[in-house]
Amino acid sequence: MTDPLKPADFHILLALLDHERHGYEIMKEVERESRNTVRLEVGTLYRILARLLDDSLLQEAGGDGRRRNYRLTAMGRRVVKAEAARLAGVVDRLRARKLLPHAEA
Amino acid sequence: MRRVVAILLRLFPRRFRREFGADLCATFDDRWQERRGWRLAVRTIADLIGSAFLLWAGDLRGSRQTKSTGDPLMTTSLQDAKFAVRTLAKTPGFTAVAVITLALGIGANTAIYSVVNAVLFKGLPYPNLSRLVFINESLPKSPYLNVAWPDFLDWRAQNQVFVDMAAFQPNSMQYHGGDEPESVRCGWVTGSLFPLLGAKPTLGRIFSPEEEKPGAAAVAVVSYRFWRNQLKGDPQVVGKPVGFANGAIVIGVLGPEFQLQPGEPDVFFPAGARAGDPDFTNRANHPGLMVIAEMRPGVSIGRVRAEMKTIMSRLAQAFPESNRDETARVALMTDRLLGDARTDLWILLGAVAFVLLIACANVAHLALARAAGRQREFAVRVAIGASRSRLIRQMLAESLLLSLAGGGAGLLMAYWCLPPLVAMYPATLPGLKDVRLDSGVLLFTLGVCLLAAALFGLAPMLQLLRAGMTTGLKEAAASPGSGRRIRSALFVAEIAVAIVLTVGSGLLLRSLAAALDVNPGFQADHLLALDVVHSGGGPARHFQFFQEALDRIALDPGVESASAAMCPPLSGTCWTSPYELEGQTPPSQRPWTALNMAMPGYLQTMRVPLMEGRLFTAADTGGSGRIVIVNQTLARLVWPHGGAVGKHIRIVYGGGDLEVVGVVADVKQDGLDSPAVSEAYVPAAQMPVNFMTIVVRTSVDPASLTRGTVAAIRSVEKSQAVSHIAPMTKVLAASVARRKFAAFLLGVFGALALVLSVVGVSGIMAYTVTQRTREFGIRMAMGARPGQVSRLVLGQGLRLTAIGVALGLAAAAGLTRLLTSMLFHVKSRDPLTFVAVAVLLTAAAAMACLVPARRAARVDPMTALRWD
Repeated sequence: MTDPLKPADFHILLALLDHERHGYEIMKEVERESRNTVRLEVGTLYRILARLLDDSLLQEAGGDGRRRNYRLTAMGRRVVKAEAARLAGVVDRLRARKLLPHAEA
Repeated sequence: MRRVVAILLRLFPRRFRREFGADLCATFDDRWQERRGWRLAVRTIADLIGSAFLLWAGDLRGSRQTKSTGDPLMTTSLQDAKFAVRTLAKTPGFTAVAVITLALGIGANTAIYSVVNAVLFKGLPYPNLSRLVFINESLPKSPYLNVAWPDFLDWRAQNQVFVDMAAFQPNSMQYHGGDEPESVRCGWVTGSLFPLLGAKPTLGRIFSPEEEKPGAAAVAVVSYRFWRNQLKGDPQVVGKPVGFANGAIVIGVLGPEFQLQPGEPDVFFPAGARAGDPDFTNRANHPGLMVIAEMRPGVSIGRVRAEMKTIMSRLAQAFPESNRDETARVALMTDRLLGDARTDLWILLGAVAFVLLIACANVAHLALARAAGRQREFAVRVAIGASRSRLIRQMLAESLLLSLAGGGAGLLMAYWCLPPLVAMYPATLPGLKDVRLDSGVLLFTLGVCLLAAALFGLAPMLQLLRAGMTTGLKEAAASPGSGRRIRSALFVAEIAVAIVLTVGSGLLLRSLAAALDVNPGFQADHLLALDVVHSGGGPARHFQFFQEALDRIALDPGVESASAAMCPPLSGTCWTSPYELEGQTPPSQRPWTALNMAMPGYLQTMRVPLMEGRLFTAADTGGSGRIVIVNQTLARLVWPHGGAVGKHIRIVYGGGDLEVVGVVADVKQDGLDSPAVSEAYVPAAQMPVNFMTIVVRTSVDPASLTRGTVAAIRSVEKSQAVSHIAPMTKVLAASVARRKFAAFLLGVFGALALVLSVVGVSGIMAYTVTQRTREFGIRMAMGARPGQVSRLVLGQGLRLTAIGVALGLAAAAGLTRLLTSMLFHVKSRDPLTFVAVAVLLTAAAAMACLVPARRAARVDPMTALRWD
């Protein structure tokens, strides 16, 4: 799991960090979280969901009959953490090279 | 939209669809609720198609077992492409033939589509095009009449169905602002025309309501073209009188995209300014307007027709003198202006699609033969671990690469072919402004490439799948029958499609020949024609001017005679009038005839044969008895038993009661392929007009007299403008230009189809013979004579040809009906054409099979048996 996650995958996992959601909630949450830089349409969303389910990063969590909910697996949570750590490392290196401003303490 | 999503879902792998289909739809519903709109629709459709593609690609890749660094899909695609380039480069012969064949097919499609794009999609750049209609007036005996100004005003005031209406009268006027006086096309229009057609001034403004009233100072709005060419792009032009005969000042310049169809006038004057002119506002006899209206959104053309019917019956009651029995005809602008072009272009587009089909069949066969030759290579690759899907992708990549290369070459071909194509495009069809390979055309070409790749890539792929990879190593060279059915199908299809195209072009060529064979009613060679509009002075002065001009022109030693008439042949009908014998017929029941004013000697100069009586002479003046010469059609209509000369006829707008002094042969007034109409000639001396076409009969090349003729006219009046100077043979050619365009192109495509299919068929037979070499060897070892073997091959070829010919003739019999409107003196199922084409194609196919058949006969049994 050392490969970087694709941004869309990462955003979907992030969107499910706090609680399980159904497809449309994921779309909206990703848009909000990424400040509209990542926009998913249904085809892409479900293509990625299928892959994440296949890789056991997500699992299904029931639903309201019409829609299904998805939630992170323990593995998924670990992957998000690993990705977050990797990104944090990147940010640190960028700061060291003065490509990013230091956070105000 | 939901249904669209459901349909697109079928593109997805079944496993995915089953697992996520319903949930995906539910999520889409939620999103649609919130963000409904075409933007979301487009994004979703694009996204679904893209996702389906990626999923399939992921599946083919065998997805999760073979994870490599980077995006595996991208790497393997790149590998596929590189490999495809390498393999294609290894067989340069195959690659070149395939690319050239595809380039012919795709190039023809691109060229024709760019004309379709320019004419049908961009030819009329009006924002509300689909809601624009033309309205005519119509009488039982005369279906297309121009509209009277007061009628137009009543329509505009009384209707509930139009956003607005506009009227215009095409005309011409002298312009003296340039180095030479010239005649410019102008239109008297209502100010409503500009907003109706979405025209905005780039300089100045359009007419104000005051300027549209009688007695207002003369003003003009000019086209961008006129401003740029004649006015030298002067930015300060607004407010200046620039040299129109009526002294109008320019108040505005229109944008470059605006053009008014038909006629494309360059200068616009307010029609309302003429509302004080009693001639202009006469309900019965008037110069006539064309009327354009924009239907309200949601109003159907049926409702518009009903509404116009109501208004016209109201007018007929209020003004029985002029409007009794008069109705209105409403036609969509697109139908009226683009109808002819639409027929021609869709047929041509269909023809090039057929050419592409044949090209694809040829390449499919080539690829098939090549794939068969590569079975061993595939087998080896499977044996060392290539997956079946990988091989399929490999072949797909090769097909795509080939078709894209063909498409690129086709684009080049189209680029070269477009200028001559445009030059040949008949001027009578509107809309051909800028034909170019724009993004729409490129997208079309790309689509054609993909389609072609799918068409010709399918056959070898099917064969590969059917052959099975594991058996390949053992039997790589065996299985002579493999793909035989596909090849036979290709053979038959090529012949059938070629038949359809050849029959179509044969019919059009025969129609063209028939049209060119028509007697125009006059002698067109050694005849120069030019239009002259005289202004200033009264009717007597007009006549005097033309008389003097003709006398001066005739002084040139190269001129045999010179004369003039208002309405020369092939120019359409200029003026019509109702006529009657006794003066008893109620106005609406009177038949109409074309009316033509002619100078003395006109019919002699044109060499129109005199059938009876006499022609006009200089002695027929305004002071002598009123006379008329009728053509044969009119004479037959009115006096079916002969004896027209000496009778009297009342021609309402032709001077009333006239004595018939002669009968002349019919002259084609509308076009070579239109029937002759009834026509009455009246001496210009008795009914002077200010615009006439001067015709000059010459003993030398008519074009060489152009300058002398114009000089002779200017020696009478220094600032006289002339226009449309051309030898009559050119006018004659222009009248069949549309027919020529379609016949020539379809002829080219028919020939191309014929050549491609013969090449393809001969390739298929040659390949079959190669495959059956061993069989032939055995047959000959068993005692078959060479003749028997070659008859075997020829027999097979002819059997397939016969099937192809039969299918092709049947398809042609159905499809040529679409050509009916373009045919002339030929039936759509003309037996001669059908038989000739069948014979031609059978002969060509037999020739194509002959070479392989002979080769089969030369097979040496010993070599053949050793052959592996």
